[in-house]
Amino acid sequence: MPTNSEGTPHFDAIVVGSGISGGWAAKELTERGLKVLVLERGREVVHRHDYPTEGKAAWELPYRGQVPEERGARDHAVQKKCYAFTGYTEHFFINDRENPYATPADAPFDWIRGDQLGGRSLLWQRQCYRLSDLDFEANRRDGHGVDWPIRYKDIAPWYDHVERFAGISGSLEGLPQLPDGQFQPPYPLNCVETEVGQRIARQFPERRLIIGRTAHLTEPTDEQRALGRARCMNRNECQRGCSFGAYFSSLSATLPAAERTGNLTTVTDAIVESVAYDEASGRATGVRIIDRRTRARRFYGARIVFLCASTLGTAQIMLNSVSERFPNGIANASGTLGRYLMDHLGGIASVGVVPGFLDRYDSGRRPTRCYIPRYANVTIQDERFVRGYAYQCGAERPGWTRGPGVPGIGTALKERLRDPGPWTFSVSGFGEMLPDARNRVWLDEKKTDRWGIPLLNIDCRHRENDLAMMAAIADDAEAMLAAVGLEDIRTYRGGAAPGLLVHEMGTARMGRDPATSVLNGHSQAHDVPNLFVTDGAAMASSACQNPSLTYMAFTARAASTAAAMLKAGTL
Amino acid sequence: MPPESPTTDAEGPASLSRRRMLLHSAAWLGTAMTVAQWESIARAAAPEPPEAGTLFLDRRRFTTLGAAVDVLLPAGETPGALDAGVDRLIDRLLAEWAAPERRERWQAGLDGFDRLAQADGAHGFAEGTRRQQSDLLQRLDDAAYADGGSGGFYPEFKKVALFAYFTSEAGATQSLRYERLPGEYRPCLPYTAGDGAWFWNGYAYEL
Repeated sequence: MPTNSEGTPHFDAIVVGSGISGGWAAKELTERGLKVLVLERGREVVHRHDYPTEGKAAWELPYRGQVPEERGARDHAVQKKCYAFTGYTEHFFINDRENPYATPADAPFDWIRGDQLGGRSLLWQRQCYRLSDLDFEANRRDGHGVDWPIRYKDIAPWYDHVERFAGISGSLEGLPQLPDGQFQPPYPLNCVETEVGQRIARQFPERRLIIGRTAHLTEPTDEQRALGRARCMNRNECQRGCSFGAYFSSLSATLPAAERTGNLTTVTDAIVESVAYDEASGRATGVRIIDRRTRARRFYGARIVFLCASTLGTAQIMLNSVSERFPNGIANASGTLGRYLMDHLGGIASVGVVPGFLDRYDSGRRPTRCYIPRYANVTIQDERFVRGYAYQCGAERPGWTRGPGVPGIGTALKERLRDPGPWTFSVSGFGEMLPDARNRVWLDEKKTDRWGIPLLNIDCRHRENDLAMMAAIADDAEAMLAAVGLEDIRTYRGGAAPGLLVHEMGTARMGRDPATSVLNGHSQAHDVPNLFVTDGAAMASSACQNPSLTYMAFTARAASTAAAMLKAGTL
Repeated sequence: MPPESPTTDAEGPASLSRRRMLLHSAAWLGTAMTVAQWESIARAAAPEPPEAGTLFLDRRRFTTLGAAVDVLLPAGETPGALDAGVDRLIDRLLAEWAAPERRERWQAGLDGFDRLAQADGAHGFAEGTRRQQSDLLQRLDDAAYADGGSGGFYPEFKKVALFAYFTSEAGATQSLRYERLPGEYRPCLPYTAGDGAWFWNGYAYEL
């Protein structure tokens, strides 16, 4: 470990967090020759060693993948709301009792977290969609939020860069609102998806059904093989961990790439309390951490700091980094730090039965479904709301899990459930939530967690445009399924509370004007030039695409900028 | 790298060290794991042996449970609930997994099956004739799927019993089909009734 003249550890760069963004920061900075320290607040997880449920059949777990009820209610009251939380994956989710935060009684926010090396890159749903200028120009066009300081042309080469390395499977579609990328071969549609997709295109010329774009290797490159990654085996049990490294995670891809440079130091169980700031130089000097196991406090110094602690983790650290110049949080001269929190609008779905095709079935567990890219306010203006939404969708024949809905007992029931049910087709919406100053986080003045760090207060609510869009997502879904001949259509209109889409974004937004934003277009703090924020906190609007790919591209771009500035001596 | 252990006991500590060694060597070499390597690791992870005796339910209720799941999912062309250990799994879930309210519901619910059987003239559910047992469950099932549904214990009984059956090795691999490592996704295959649905236990399934 390099040290400075006082003997304290000193690095070229500190990266806070080891999830999707942190892994990318580590890779890109170490590959440019920087000595990098990655700090992870959770435990170490070793690729392949620490995937205890991988490949296990249900009967090889004591409770068949169910989490004991009392433990779930006590320790995972929030996490258990996440679709991916099961007895197979619970060890990759935080304990809610030990990691409290506060929300108003009438405004729940479900904060889904995975504190471990690799973070939520182990748990993500792996959908990867580029933003387009429809998204980057949206704030300027309708006046909600501040104008993004970049456009698609600025980030497009970085999308190319991260897609090639991460490995994204997908199809080329030529859609302006959802730019194509550097894709590995797509997963195929099944016959019912093909048929329903054709019917949708006939009935709704502005809508298309395409295969999901997903961070899975379908044709690994030499670079990916060299990292020990292999082709996807279609288990669709990704959140348990994948020893094939077939889906992109920090553990399968970016951290091994950083490791092989010889420039990476990783410290786990290190909770970053704050970023240290030097008034004289106007620079961040490093970070203060608390050892999760010993509670010892330490300081790590570095020439630059990358915050990749996840949107709300980053916001909490920044708000807790106070100094004479920044009494309300580092790089917060604008007063916008902590504000404009967003999550996607969702938890709204419609499902129906597709008549016919009973002599057809699929095999293997494809790890992605399909996608109907945004169409509202693309070519056809919708009067009900601004911005738009996309649907994740797919066709399947439900198996045993439909059992409780099937009447009967005895041999007749058993034989009926031996066969798959009729084909169903379902769509689930992902809508753009507007940036709104009232949706914000702040530190509690009294309550602290077990480390003495002030609790995060979160007040995030769906506002007028959000609610109008949520209703439209449900209405369109139901009408679309009816129009393409589906039967027994059921629509779930309720919607999820903010947070549960696990696409939380904003709180340290990018912008052109230091008076109204925290970061510039290179993810660099306006007020503290050697501080970079490249996770979801940087988002100035949410678009409706799953955001992880954009975090990867922003991180790689910021790392390139930071390394060049260091070299040029301008930081 | 340590030499491979000569012991072949698939459930002993030797298999653990073999598993760790395979994992270590694959990671250490930085090579892609092959399917054969992965399957050899997966095979080394063996299920726990079944336990004797009951863990939670008393004898009477366990007997009632066994009779009821046997009527719900009898042996035939494919294994039945008892072949699949559905009664033992439910007993274990009640002992180790269930919250107190659920335990009480199952005790009362199984007692209820006995009381209904007594109303039909049997000593208890398990002592009734197969015909009586079947008629009783069918009545409960009809009521459960009638408009509005009957609520009560029966729908939970059926849901948990189906879960226990289809997540068992017998249910998943003999009544249904299971691929631990599919390899490919085949989007459009011919299907004939009786071929068998695929077993999968992926996202959260609320019992």
